[in-house]
Amino acid sequence: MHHQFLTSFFPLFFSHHSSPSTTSLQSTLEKPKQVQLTRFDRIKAKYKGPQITISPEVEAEVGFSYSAFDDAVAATDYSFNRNDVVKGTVVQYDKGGCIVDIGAKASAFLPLQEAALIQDGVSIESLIEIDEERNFEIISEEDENGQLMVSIRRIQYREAWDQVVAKQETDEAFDAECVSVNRGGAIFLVNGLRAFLPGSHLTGRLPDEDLIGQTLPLKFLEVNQEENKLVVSNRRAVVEAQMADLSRGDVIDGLVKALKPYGAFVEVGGMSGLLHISQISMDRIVDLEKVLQPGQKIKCMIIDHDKVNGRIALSTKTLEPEPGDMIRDPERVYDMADETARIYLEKQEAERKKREESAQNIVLGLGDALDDLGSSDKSSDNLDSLLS
Amino acid sequence: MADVNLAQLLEAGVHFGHKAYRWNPKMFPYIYTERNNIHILDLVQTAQLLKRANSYVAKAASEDKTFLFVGTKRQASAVIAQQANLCNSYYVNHRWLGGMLTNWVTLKSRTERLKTLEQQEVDGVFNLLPKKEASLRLKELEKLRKHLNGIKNMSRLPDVAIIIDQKREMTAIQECRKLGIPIISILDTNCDPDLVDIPIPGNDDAVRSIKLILNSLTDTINQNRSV
Repeated sequence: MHHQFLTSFFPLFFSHHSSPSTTSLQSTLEKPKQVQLTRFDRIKAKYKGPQITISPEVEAEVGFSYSAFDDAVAATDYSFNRNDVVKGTVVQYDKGGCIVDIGAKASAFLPLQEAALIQDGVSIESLIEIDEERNFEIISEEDENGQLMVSIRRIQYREAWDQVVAKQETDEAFDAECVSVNRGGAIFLVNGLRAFLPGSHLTGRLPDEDLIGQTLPLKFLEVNQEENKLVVSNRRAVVEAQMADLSRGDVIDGLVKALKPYGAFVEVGGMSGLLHISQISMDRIVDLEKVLQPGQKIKCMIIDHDKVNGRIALSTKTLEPEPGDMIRDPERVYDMADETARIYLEKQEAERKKREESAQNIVLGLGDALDDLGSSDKSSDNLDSLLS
Repeated sequence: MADVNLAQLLEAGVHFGHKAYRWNPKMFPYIYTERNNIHILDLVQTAQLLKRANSYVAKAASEDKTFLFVGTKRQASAVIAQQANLCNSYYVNHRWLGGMLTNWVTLKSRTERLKTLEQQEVDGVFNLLPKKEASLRLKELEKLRKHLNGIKNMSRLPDVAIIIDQKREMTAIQECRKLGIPIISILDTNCDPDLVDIPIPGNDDAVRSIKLILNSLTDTINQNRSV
């Protein structure tokens, strides 16, 4: 068996040596400009089958000569590879797309999904016209019939990203329309690209169904073409003048954005603040959802703020006229909020003074003892200096 | 006689063949050379054979012979219907049903059914029927129309068949050969010229190429038909 294989192999090997191609190989080494013979030319040289000889009368009959044809063929450069951008003309509509003539052997196919960046589910006729000439990108290799698939969407996608990157350089605010809403935020269409707006960056409202179709001013948060990440912010685009005025003890309106086991996130003057569960009411709160709902407008007091990190600590406990009102009757709390706050602040002030006085008394008492010890410099007359 | 010159043929891409490894060696005499791994057809022969086909078609048209155009591929579908209507010939541009010619007797009953349904549609019978029946009949009408619209009015077998993609319409070619109907066909580099009576070597994948060749043939038919 092995012997047979070897013997059948050898004649092939020898015939290869005796063919004229080796001599031409030698000559190619001497004359590097010689044209390489294609497989077809080699077959033609050895062909012994029936040949069709074309007489010169045929050329006259047909109206053109072989030399003209030859020149034309030599002039053509046929290369259609994947990711090439070629010019083409739409020739006819077809089911699921349209047929495009790009000068290749077979007419290329443009699927409906690849015809436009923004998919509205419309028909192919509305997106592109017959005999329209534009650039297409080849997105597939030739199939068994030699047909390629082309796309307009890829080109538009790249152009859209270039525009977006340019916009980010200038960092200017722009308008965009919301197309869908999900748990984390909303999706906006920017230049045909889908950009994500996180819920925490949306001012003045919650990401809910009403947002779809609305146009809002936005600025870019993150633009990353390689990872296909495009994040925008409404908060950055909206001017926040109230930020500078906020201080401890202010009573302001807030919008409940989200509920967590440990409290609620409330948006206050463009910044996000935390209303801790222990700070909502004097009484213990069993079920947070019964008291607060996302989207609810409430009044709250700022008890602490960290401008550096952009964090605010809020409280409604201090606004309760009677302890437990937040659970029983929140409306009453909001109505009397300013009043209650004023009372609370006065009480705080009064308590602070009392604490100061008692501290003074202690120090005074200490002062007598210290006098007994013999340090007569620290007399009660210099109490203020001691306390300051 | 609608003549085509070199510029038109080149612009339509008639000389492009399939990739070199996909050829049928029987097409060797019609291939000019190989460039960029694809075969280039010999346009001088193409033009000559097109002329020969035109003269044959002219003679047949003057003798009042009927023509059947067959082309079911995506690129050819719309062109075939349009060109056949231009010269009042029959055509098949969706799937060639098996036995369309060899089992003509049965197919004829289907065309009769198509005609009755169309008549019913015109008369408004569908409005009198219950909704479900009407929709069933409409669906049947659509299906019949899709496949048989081109041969609706064919009363007997055609005299000449003009076929676009030989590899795809192999059933049609076999039926025509069985019945002795002469075949004119566009041959690509992967086709078999022995199966066809009058070959026209050319590109059968590009819309422009098919349109150019068919245009030439239908013009000839129109000119030579005795009115």
